[in-house]
Amino acid sequence: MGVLSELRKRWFVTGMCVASTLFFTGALLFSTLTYVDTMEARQGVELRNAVETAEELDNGSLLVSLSIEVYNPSGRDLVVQSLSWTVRVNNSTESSVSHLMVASAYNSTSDDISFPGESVRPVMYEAIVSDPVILAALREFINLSESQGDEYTLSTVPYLHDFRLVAWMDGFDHDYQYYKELYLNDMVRVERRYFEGEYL
Amino acid sequence: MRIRGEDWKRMLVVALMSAPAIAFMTFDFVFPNMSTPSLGKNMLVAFLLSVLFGMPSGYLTRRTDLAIVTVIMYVFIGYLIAIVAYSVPFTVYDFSIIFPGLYFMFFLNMTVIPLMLMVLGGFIGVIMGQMLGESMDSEETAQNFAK
Repeated sequence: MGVLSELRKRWFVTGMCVASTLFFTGALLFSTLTYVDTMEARQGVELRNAVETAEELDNGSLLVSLSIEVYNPSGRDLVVQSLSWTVRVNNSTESSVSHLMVASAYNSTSDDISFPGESVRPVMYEAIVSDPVILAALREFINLSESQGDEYTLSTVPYLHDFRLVAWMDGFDHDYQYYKELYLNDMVRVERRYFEGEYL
Repeated sequence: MRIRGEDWKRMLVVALMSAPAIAFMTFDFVFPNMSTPSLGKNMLVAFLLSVLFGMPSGYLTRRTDLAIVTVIMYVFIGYLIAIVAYSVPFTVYDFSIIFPGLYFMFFLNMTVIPLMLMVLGGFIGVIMGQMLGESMDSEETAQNFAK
């Protein structure tokens, strides 16, 4: 008896086998496509068009700002875990390294920020620095630079902007605590950074 | 005992029918957050499903030695399909940041225990499939005599 006729004779079990084969083939294909889609989303998210500004206000305070676009080409929404922005001035010399913190801001999950799929959304941070301690330190830096031949004003000091985005792809669980499963978190987490004029 | 060409064909057909389930379960074990429906890394469910998918080998291949070879065949084929599914994004992008180094080793490391369970479950399924076949045959014979 041929194989096919034998299978036909046992049609009930053969039918169930074929049905389960089709089901699991479909499930595997769908899951693989989800996997590919997620990996593409993870790769495709970009920070771009950063614009840094600094302006001395009439009252002597300093206004620093950063505007940057978050480009999410994937079909998946990104839920922000943290957004952080810091502005500082590199006050290093040959013998010592130090940074002068000018301003900072932070957003976390409690702020409920998300970047929808297939969209470009601008993010803008602004800070008015009026703390006399920071302004005095900046003026001291300007005076020091002047003695070394660099002409700066509060508006033209080389501020270093550091912007970080950490987000999750919406719709995926990411609360794995067991150390062997932390890679599942990494798969659906997107981390991007803009630092000293470079997109990292 | 000799293995005829027809036996190989039957074994291949049965192996191809059971392999997608093994492939899915293996993939699901590595990426439970990506797969639908997910078994959620539940070893017991994976084992019970392995027993279930071993039954056609025992039922359709009555010779025990061939049925056992069929189990090994479909687990092997299914595992290969799972590796292909796992590798699909890597053929387009470099994801070494996520899985540094030997990413196949990562896959093997994650799935070695379910792999053993699937083989063991398949063997148990073979026995159950053979018992089911004999039961159905004896019932069919009894019904024929009753006529």
